[in-house]
Amino acid sequence: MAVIEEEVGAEQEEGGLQLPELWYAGTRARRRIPPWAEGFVRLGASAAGAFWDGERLVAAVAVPTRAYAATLAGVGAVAARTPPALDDGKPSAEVLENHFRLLSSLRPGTTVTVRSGRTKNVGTFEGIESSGRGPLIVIKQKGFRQMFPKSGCHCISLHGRSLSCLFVGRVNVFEEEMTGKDVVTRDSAPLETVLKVGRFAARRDHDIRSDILPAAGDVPARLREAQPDLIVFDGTAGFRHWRENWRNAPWLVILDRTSAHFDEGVQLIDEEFAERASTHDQAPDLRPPPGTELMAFWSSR
Amino acid sequence: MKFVPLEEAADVYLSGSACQVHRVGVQAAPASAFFERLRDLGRAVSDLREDEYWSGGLGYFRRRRYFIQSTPLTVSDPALELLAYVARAREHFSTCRSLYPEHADGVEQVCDALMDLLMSNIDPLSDAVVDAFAEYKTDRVGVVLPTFGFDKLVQRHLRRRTDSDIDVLTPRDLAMRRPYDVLFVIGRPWWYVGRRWGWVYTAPRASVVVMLGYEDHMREGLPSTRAFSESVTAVAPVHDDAVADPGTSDEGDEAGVDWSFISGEVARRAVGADTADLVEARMYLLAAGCAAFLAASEESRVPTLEPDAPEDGRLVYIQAPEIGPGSIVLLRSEGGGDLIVAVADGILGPAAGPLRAMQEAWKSRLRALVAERGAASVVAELKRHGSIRANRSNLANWCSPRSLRTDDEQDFLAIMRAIELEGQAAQYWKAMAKLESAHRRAGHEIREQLEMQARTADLTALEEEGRADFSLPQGGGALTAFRVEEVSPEIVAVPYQHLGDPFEARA
Repeated sequence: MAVIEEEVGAEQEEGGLQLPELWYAGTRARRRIPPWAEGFVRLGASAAGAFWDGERLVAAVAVPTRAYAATLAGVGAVAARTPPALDDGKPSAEVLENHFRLLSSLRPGTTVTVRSGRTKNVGTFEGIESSGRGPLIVIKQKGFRQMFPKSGCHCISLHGRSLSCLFVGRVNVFEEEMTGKDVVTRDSAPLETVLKVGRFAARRDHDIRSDILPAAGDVPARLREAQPDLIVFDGTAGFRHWRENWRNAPWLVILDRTSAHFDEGVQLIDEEFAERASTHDQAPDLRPPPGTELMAFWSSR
Repeated sequence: MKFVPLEEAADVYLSGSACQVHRVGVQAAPASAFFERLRDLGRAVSDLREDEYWSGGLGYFRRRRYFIQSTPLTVSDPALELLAYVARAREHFSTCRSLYPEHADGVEQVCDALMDLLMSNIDPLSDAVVDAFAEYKTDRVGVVLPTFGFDKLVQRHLRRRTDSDIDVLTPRDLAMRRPYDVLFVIGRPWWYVGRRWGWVYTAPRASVVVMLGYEDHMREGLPSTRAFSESVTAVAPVHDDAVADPGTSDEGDEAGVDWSFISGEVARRAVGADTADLVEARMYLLAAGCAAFLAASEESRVPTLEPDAPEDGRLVYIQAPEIGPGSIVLLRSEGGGDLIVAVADGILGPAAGPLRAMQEAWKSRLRALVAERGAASVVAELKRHGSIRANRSNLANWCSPRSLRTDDEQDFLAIMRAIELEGQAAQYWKAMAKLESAHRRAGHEIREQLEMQARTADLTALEEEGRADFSLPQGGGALTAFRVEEVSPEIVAVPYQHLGDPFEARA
């Protein structure tokens, strides 16, 4: 096998967002994750919260091995949907721009927190309105509506438990990928420190960004009201079982070519495509990771 | 599904990024003679395909032909059982001259050609592997077979002949291994594609894939790497060094299995069966010349063994549709009837008899009512008597001996009214509750015993012969673990009593 040279470079950027730098335990040395793995991180970042005129993204990827595809896509989704740390000082223009973009992509009705001096109030995101001063974020609070320009949007943050990503698949395999030391952040922390998976969280831990739904069974109580920004189905079984329950979120379906159910998964995706009832002919602008095949479309179902 | 480190996954992506495919076709006169004679006979009796005399008889030859074409072993190797099957075929066709005189000579020629092949002692597939192996100066070489049960034997054989550590494996094993530098894929592509192993070509586990088989098969095209109807692909094209000609092979049968014999097996089992007893099922060909029908429904779960799993995770119950070639299923081989019923009766002791009599009493009355008035009419009557869930599907389930009582007591009361046992409804409801409790305990006990057996079993016999026997104490009878070799594409209706019963398969 050819020696893979270590790459030391900048963090990835996807549409202006900083994606985490990830490393894996190579035979001889720790190495940056290879291009195909970075491709999944980028894919997840692009797919999370992907809506167009009320239609959600449906994407499926045929992969030569399921290993890490779903997990890395989830890392990208969580990284893209995690608001940057906003302190009381004046954030930079770039940070404000990214935060405004994140808030703009929220679904109407999403609960947010509005900071005003030392007080924090809960409100709901209504939408974006145009004005002579530029776009304004509209937040509905108790008894009144408030409008925030870009310069003031740092006062708005996502409230409580807002899932960036919901994984569907075999919990034990996810657990090894997410909490193990095989693939880690630049600081050698497991991926779980980025993903903040509810299933692995301690009782006191309220900062949850993602969770795992087993491929079969019933919805756990903690996930019944969840509105994730992206659902990543790791394999056909979970997709077959859950797709009718989660038609309100963008999907990313990972289909392993070596799986006995690969053909069935492809068939289910083709069915979704045939019944998508979309008004958009243009396919979403997503790149397949190297070595994979990607099908993506908008769906109103 | 096991954890795969990212470095191993990276190897998979790397091997697929620039895969070269080479084709090596073999020819051997004695083998060609047998294949041609068999093909000629098949064509001559094509109108008699549905006749079990021919489907069963030709099956003896066709299965041997498949093993000859897919297994790099000397043709005289006892594992291929050519001598035994010539004898079986001769015995089967001993009446041919009187029944089908016009085909007797053809049968004789096939038998003779197979004997000639056996006596030739050739080993063309291995010869080709050895020759090709010498060209590649690399340590990591694998050979993939489309069949189960021969991998260890072929591995010993090829390691001896190549004086190397060459690996021989099935696609199931290949998916879990690190990629190879060179991978020999034995046999025609369809044998892999048809078993959902087309990824051997579309997601290759080697930088160099050498397709190796009899000449006709090596002209077959490879499956497309494109999976979806509309997609963007970043999959590197496979560099195939040959132009495929898909029209050269005239074999319509699936890896030597002529599934047309299924209809005979189904008919034999369905004789005298109640319609209410019929369930949808598939036939599974098992190792050691056996077969079994398993329910086709996703609701049905079958105990299977995963020999490579940790000891306390070897027993896995999976949905029947997930069972495929290579799966190891646990079936009742001794004791007859439903295992849970037998163990539950053991738990109930002397109480079992009267309780079973009560179970049979209400069910037989319900079935008689359905037979007399028809399902639709009985459903309507049950609703009039207060049933809230009466419909055809539930009625069929309530008639079946596999169910003990209704989920809701109101439905049970409606049934009791319809079959004129209303006065004893409470007594029957309580009795069926006792049976249900015993069944739950039985299920739990069986699972515990199976898990213990799976933990401690010597699985060598399973690996080498494709079957291993287990026994359950407390009157549970015997179970056998069978490796699944082929799965019928057809769904048929068989009485539920025959599900999971292994039998000898002549094909």
